[in-house]
Amino acid sequence: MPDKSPPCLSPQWFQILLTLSAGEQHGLAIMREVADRTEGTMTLWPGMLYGNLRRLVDAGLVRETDGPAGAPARGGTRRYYQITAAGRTACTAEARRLRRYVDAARERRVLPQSRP
Amino acid sequence: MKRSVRVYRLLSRLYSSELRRLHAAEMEEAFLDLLARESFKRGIRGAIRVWAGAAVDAIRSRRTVRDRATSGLNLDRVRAEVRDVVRHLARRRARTVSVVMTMSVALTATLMAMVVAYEVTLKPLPFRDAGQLAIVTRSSPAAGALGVTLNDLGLFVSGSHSVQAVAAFNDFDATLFTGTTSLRVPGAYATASLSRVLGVPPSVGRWWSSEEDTPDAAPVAVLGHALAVQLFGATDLALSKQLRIQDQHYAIIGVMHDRFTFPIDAQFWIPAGRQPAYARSENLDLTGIVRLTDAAAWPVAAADALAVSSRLVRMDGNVDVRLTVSPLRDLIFDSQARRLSIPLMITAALTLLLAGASVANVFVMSMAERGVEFAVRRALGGGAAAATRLLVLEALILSTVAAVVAAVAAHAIGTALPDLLPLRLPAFVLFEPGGLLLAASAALAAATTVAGALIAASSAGRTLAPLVHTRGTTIDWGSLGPARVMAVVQCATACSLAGMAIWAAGNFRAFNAVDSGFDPSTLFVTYSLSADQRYDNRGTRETFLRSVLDKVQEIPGHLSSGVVGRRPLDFVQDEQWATSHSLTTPVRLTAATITPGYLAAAGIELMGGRDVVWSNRESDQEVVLVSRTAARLLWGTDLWSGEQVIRLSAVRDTMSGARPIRVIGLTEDTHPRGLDAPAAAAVYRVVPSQRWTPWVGHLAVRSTLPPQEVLKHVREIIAAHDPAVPIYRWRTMGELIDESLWRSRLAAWLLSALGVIALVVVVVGVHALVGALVSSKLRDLGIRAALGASGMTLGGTVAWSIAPLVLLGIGTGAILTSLLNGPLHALLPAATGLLWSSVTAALVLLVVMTFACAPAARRAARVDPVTLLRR
Repeated sequence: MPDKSPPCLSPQWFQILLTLSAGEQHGLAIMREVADRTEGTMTLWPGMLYGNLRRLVDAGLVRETDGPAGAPARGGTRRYYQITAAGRTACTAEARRLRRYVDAARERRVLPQSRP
Repeated sequence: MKRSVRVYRLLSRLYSSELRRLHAAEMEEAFLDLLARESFKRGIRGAIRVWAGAAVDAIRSRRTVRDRATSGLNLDRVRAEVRDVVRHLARRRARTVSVVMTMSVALTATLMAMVVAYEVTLKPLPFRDAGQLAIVTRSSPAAGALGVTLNDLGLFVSGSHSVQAVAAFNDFDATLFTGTTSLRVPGAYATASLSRVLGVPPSVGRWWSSEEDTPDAAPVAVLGHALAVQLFGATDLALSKQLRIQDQHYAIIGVMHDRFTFPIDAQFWIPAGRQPAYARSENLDLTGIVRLTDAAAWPVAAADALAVSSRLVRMDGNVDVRLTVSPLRDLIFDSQARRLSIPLMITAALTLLLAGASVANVFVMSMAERGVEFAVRRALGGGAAAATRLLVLEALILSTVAAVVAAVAAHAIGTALPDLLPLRLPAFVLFEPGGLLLAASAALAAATTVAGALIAASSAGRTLAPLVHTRGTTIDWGSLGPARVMAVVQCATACSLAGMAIWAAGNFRAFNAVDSGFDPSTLFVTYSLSADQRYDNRGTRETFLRSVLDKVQEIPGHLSSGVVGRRPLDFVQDEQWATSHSLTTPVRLTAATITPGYLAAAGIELMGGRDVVWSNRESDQEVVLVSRTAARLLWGTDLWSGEQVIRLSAVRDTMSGARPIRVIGLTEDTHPRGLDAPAAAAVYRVVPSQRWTPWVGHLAVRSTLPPQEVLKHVREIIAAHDPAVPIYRWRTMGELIDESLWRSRLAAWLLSALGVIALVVVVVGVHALVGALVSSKLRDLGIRAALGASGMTLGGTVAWSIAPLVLLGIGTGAILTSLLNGPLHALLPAATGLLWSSVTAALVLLVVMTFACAPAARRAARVDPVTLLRR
């Protein structure tokens, strides 16, 4: 049987999509949120951040937007990004995949059982 | 912070251009934010971490972009680009054809040079462990290489620890009779061990045993594959059949496989033991072949040969004799043919280099013409990489077509070449390029054209400079700068090749026009008295000689006839001679032992004194005639005055007190070593019959009849006297001259052809370059025309822009040609006048360059400013 599950996302893509799932953001905000969420363990360096954003746009998981009304555009240099339906599906699938690993870790008591 | 911004902007140059173009400001903002946060949290360590991380990020992001470009192969895009390139090539048909022709001509030349060099110097010989096979010959500084006797081989094998097995053979042409027809076929007589020494058994049947290699054994023969099929229809059917070779019937006991030919093109082999002269100690007709114990035994074999040489000198008392051991390849391809392949490779490589430079120029021109197209592509996001990709694709398509054309051409030339060469080549030598060489040449074509495309692509961005500069009377080359270097390389290479071509063609014409000193219609027929024991007696040999010469005089239309010991243009021998006043300073003369009538038969003109008569041969005093060059060497004048000379070649003569020999005449000079060699200082010896009667004689006959008619008569005369005496190797002097010139002719032909190719190729390249220059500067030229510059001025501006490059190239080429003096003289030893050839080549190149630049200069002169400015 061929595996029909979506391909795994790279950690950077997952973090970017996770950030954008809350709403459209510009690159700097994405970088800050990812750094905060991962407690500094993942730094999205400028080349890495914008390179991955270009590839996410090319893959149809993210699209560029004009940004929310009244958002600071810093002289028109800031680009805003919004997650697409395909991006949300991919992010959800990745989150489920990660949850399966966490569940497996709990079953094997690598992690404590979750409270009801 | 400002300093950090400046440093980051420098660092950000490491990022890909695409990323910078789209996100430069955002990335800078993100970096500064990171730097601020990390510095706040961790101080200097945080700042260092951010700087290091940014550097790694820049490098990694660049690599990621490149990986995407290469790994993510978008077939649709490739297909579209191929379609685009093909359409472009079809639109520019003339340019496409010129590039394909330029590359294919150069590639064909390179391919053929590679094929010849491989076949002659590198291809393994088709014998088992051919590296262990050696040829044993006698040689002497005066006489060159000779055959060996059985005694020599016996001495060598008994005294050597390096020899595993030994065999001997001699090649000859024989008449084979099949029913009512006969055919002349090259063959060889050989010892029973030849098949074992070569490591090649017959494919059908067997080789003969040592018992069958004796005079009394039943005659047996082994046939070559092609001959067996020709005579009997199949190899199996040939076994046990009888075949008449000359006047003897042989039973066929074996057939060799289809690619076996040894020596050279032999098609049948018979036991040497059946030849009466085989075991005679003075018979030097044999060639020895030995199989060494291993490939490392060469130095031991050479030392053994030296030791045997010393024994031979002691036994013979002849200081000149030396036994030499040389690789088998030397027998099959002579050293001159092998030397030929190296300069040939160099010349072909230069032609390919020239073609590559021309193609690069064509691409540069293409870039200049397509400047707007590439600008639009870039504006649409195509980028420099896309432009390069298109050019490389174009180069690959062109080189593929060129490689296919070259392969077809090389195949056709390779098939025809053996027939064009007046050279006997073994059957395993094939001048048709194999798959590996074709692949190598295709790779060469691709590499050369892609290199040209990349050079052109490097100037892609810069050809779009909107403002064109002019300085004084020349044009600023601007973006076409790299092409200037190529133009110089092209002119230098073309000048060098053209110089060599003119030199070769000029010299070949010169020595082709040399009077050989011989009559070209003289027929030489070689006979051998080795067929019967009764010729061991000198008297019977002399009787045979006189009887045959008497009968030859009765041939209708007979003019003159005589016999010479060594045939000119085939084998000549030098000896040391001196006058009684200059015994300490002997001179080297080319000696020929002759009978009365030979000089007139060979057409050698008598300048003074008298010709030799039979009474000279019957007396016990040797007499000689000398050529004018010899007389000048001996006496300082070429006026005959009846001097005496002394022969010093043999040590015995000097030890016993050399006797003066009377000079009875003076002859005109001849070229017995070939027309490409200087006139020989010749001495014609008339040795008394009790001291010299030849085993193998070369009968020279001059007659008013055609050579074939004369040959028929000679054959009948010899057969009537003794049917067992074979005659072979008949040639007219004209044919001998032609055969002696084949190497020089081939070298001159190849160099001339490559010189012409070089000139054509350089015209394509420089025409393209100047065309590109004018195309890229059209606006500037239009402005100049609008400001009042005349057409002559504009055309002159173009000419002055290219002139320094052409002159620099020609100067470099002339120096290059003078450096090639050594290798060139290896090709044509007697040729001279390289300096004048270089000067002529320079002048020819100047004229050719003028024609190459003329269309572009005319285009510049006819620039219409109104049309240009409107555009």
